Amino acid sequence: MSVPRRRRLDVLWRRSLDHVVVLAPGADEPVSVGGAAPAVWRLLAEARTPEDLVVMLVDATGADTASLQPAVTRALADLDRAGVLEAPDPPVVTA
Amino acid sequence: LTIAARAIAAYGLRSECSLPREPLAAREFRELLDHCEQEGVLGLLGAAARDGEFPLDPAQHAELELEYRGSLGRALLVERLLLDAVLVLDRSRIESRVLGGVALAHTAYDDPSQRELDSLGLLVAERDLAAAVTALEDGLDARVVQAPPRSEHDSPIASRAMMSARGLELRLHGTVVDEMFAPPYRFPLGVTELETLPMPARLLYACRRPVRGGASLRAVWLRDLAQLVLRERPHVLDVLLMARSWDGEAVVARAVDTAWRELELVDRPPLVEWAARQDRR
Repeated sequence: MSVPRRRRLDVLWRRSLDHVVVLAPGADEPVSVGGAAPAVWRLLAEARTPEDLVVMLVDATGADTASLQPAVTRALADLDRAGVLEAPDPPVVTA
Repeated sequence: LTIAARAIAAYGLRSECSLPREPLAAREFRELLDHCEQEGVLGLLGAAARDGEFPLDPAQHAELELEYRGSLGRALLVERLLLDAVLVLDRSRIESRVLGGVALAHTAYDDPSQRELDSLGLLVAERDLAAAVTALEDGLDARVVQAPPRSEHDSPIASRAMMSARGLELRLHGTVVDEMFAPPYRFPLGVTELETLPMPARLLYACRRPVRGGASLRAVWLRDLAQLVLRERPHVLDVLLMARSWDGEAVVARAVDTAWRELELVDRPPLVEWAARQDRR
């Protein structure tokens, strides 16, 4: 199972018609990411694995898994490159 | 305002203005885009298009997307500058309130993408204005582009400094009115909680620009007023008492009445009826 990712809370962002426009902390310029990224970004308000995202988007759009998987992978890579995703804190284990 | 710009500025509110049912001709669409940018309502055109309420052909969709993305990117840079400016002032122990577009985008609009941002405004106590200018010069490499401060007898703003930082305009306003620092209205931006004016001070401040704007009246200022009045439903007496203490009743009446007439809005809360009566006297 892949590692879950979520939005960084300190990212400033907006949604255009087809893209999500993000400004990561420390970045000089905003970055626009299209394709599946706006839908993926919306879902990443909570931590999710790529597999979770594909399942949710298949449910929402009716598209097939084979076509969505590469789109989700690309969106995650683009968002990661923009520096706007993070891994959630690991759960605290108490003795 | 042009008819099309009015309809865009009123998008999402109950209005007599109507949007086109078919895609506009290419030249007409280009003119509309220009108008929307001038009027500060490109975000509302984007919202209408995204909701499927403004028909676009594929070329128009691509053109709007490009302009909209540019506008949203600028808004994010404005917000980043604001966060940095507030941090600088906090570190200098200067209390501030966020004014204008950024505060309205995040408190009065359903989606901040609807509100264009091209500059930012901050309010400080007048006694702190000089120290705030120095702090922003040192902390943000901002520079003053317009001095000296000027007095405005009919508003709570006693003085101001126009500054520039990172290619953006930063308006620093000084007030002598303690009420402006009454318990603030708080809103989140990123992981920071910012403070703006509570109601009705936020409304009264927003009324200044449509009236002072004169020939450069922008549709976005009218939409801001409509958002505040329809969303916050301020009580007429609260507004009047504060407006009277600022000697600003006529300003409020003119601004609110202008917004309702220009945007041809259907819903008319009591404040709007009062404004219409006052403004026609």
